[in-house]
Order: sequence, then structure tokens, then C-alpha cells
Amino acid sequence: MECDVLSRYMDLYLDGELAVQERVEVETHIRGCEGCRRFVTGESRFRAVLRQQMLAVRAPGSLRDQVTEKLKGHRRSSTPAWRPSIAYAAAVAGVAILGYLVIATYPKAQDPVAGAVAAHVASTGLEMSGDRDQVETFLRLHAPFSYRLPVADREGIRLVGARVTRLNGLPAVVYQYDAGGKMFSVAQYRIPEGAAEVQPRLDHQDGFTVATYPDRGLIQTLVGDLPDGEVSRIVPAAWTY
Amino acid sequence: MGLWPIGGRAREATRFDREAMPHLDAAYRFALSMTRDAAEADDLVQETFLKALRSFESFQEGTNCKAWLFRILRNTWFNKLRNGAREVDSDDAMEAIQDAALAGWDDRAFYRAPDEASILRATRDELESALRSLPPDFREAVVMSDVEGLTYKEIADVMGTPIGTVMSRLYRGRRLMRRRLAKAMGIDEVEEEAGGEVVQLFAARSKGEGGHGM
Repeated sequence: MECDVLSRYMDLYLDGELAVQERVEVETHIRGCEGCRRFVTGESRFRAVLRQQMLAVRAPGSLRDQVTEKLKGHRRSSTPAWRPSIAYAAAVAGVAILGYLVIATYPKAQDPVAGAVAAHVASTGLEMSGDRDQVETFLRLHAPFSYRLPVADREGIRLVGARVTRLNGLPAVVYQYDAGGKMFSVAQYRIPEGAAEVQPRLDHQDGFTVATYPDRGLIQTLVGDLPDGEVSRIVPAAWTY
Repeated sequence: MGLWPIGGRAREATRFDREAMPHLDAAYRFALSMTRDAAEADDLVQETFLKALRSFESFQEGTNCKAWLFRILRNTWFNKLRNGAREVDSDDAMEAIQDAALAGWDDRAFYRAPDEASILRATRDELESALRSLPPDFREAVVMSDVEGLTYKEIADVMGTPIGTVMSRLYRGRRLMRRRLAKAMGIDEVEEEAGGEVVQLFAARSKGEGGHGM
């Protein structure tokens, strides 16, 4: 192994990310090469210094107290993580009676939540930014299925963009909304043929609130940095077209 | 579903205290490195722990809880930052700039010098400001690896990028950091000699300026 080859492996070696065989090769080279040995020694000492100095930075005591208090408060006050509001339940029932609610079916192996959270985090790539009319013009041309705007424009909630993508191997449209400065997105799929029933559900994942619900032949997954109450306020709106 | 049985909730709470609370310092350090502001870091950590408690069911036992908290923290921070879509990572543009900054730099040069005049003597302030000077994506990767000891895979999960991207951010970030640190400490290469074989680490500081007693 030559020094220039070694230098490409050096980070992996020092990070403990090499397989045993590669590790042995690197160590054999280092034993016989003073330049590389000095570099490895210097670099590992520098990392130790960096680590030691930076680990001395600790959360202030006041922060620890605040966090502990907040968690206590949350535990005292929180009802079970989510219970659909009466308005929500009524809306679901109403829609069902009107015959709009298609029994949503979905292949079990595909998790709409995971895909939608990833799409929300990566929502860098809005293909189309603009108001409702602009988004609709874009979607009329590009949507892979007969889309439907998931949330009606109303005070405090504004459609700001969309993109067409694939999530979990299915064509999807991801809409982005601005709810008074907080962004949330809604991923929309067409329900695949012959899949299992999807019940409306609410999850918390990676710090986001995630609501999944069927709506007239489509499945929608709303992902946002929003409190549950806010989400259950937005979700029923999806049923009231 | 999000319904905890009553007895289960108390158990979850204990488990949260055991798994997540020990990472409060790490979360604060990571928040500081992202926000570069103590008050913002405070808020971010509080929000992160509240969300983590609420989402604790989605934490997979046996995985690294610190990395999971970092992911929530990072998502929360970017959510605060973005007004409209988060800016697209400008990796390509960044790479061009970093490559220009690193051209001609031989990382071995850092450790050719005797210890007493090398970056091994950097103070915490100097280290912090060298870290702060890095582009955000590089800084995050370096902090997660070199300070917090996360694996490439864990960092890739936190940042939502492939492992190859993590490796390249680490490679560039580390070298850029060491170079800036050396500059700030007045330890710097003079020039690359013809043939590029030897890069001198120490600027021949003019005697009038003082220096490190060399």
C-alpha cells in the first residue's frame, strides 16, 4: 500500500469504519512508514484534544431545570397522545354517510408515514412555487393521477407549492402549505387496487406530527411541525369540500 | 397508534428519562453548533425534548438515542429556519469553493511540526471558532463524528443523506477546519515548493512581530 492510497483510507481508519482486512493493511503500512505514522499519531491526538475540549461544553443548569419542568408539565397535562376530536369524528362519519369515504386500502409493507416524513424533510425540491392558481395549472399538466387539493385555502393556511414525485414506489403529489409561518406538507397518493384498509391515524415521528387519512380514493399524509390540536383542526377541513 | 395504556405511560416516562435525558449535554452542544447562539440553542433543546417525549414511541430500542434526538433537533431547526422551502443544499457550489481553499494543502503538514507549536495546542475558543467558521453541512458532520462519536451510518440517518456524502463532508470539513485553525493560530504554510513535495508548516514570522518563541 502506497502513501497516497493510504491517505484515502486515513479518515475511515481513524473513524473505525474499516473492515478488519483493510485495517490490517493500513496498520502494516503505518508500521513501516514514518510519515504516515506521524500523521496518524498527530491526527488522533488532535481529535482527542478537540473531543476533550468540546465535551467540556455542558448544558447550563437552568436549561436542565427548564427541560425537566416542561417534561413534567407535559406528562401531567397530556391526555393520551391523540384522540380524534368530536368534530373530526363527526366529519368522518358525515363523509362516510354521504358515501364519499372509500374504504382505503394499502399494501401493508409500504409505510406511507415514513415516505411522507422523508419527503417533508427533503421538501427542498418544490418543482412549483406559487399560489393556488399557479399550483393548479402546474398539476393539471403534470399530476400522475387525478389530484385534488388536500386542504382548502382559508384564513391562516395558504398553498405555497407542490411537486410530483414517487413515494414508496407510488406516484405522489406533495403539496406544501404555510400555516401562519409554519410549513406543513401533504403527500397524496392514489389508493392502489386491492390493498388493506387504512384508518385515519396520527403519529409522531422525528419531531413531526403526522396525520394519515383516506379521502375519496386518495390517501393523504400530512406532516408538520404542528401541535396535535392544530393538525386535528386542519384535517377535518379535508373532508368538507 | 398514539394511545398509551395508562400503566404503559409511566413506563414510557421512565424509559425516556433513562434513554434520552443523559443526552441533554450532547443535544445542547449540537444545538449550539447549529444555531451558534446560546438563547436559540436553549429554546431548540427544550422544543426537541418535548417533541422527543411525544414521539418516543417512534424511537427504536437498540438504536442510538443520541442520534435520534439529533435528528429531531435538526428537523426542528430547519423547520424554524425555512420560510418557504429550505434552501437547497448548495453542495456543488460549496465544493468548488472548498476545493479552491484546500488546493495545495497537504494535511500531513499539520503534524510535521513539533507539538509545542502545532494545532494540538489550540484552546477551546480557537477550536470553537474554527468549527463555527465551517459551512453548516460540514460543521454538523464534523461535530457529530469528532465530538459526539456517531458512526457514518448514524450521521447519514440524522442528515438524511447517503454515507458517501457524509464521508465527503467529513473529509472537507476536517481539513478546512484544521487549516483555518492553523491560520488563526498564526501557524501557516508559506508556500508549496516546486514539485509540491514539501509544504512548510510554519510561516517564517518576522522577528519584529513576536510569535510563538520560535
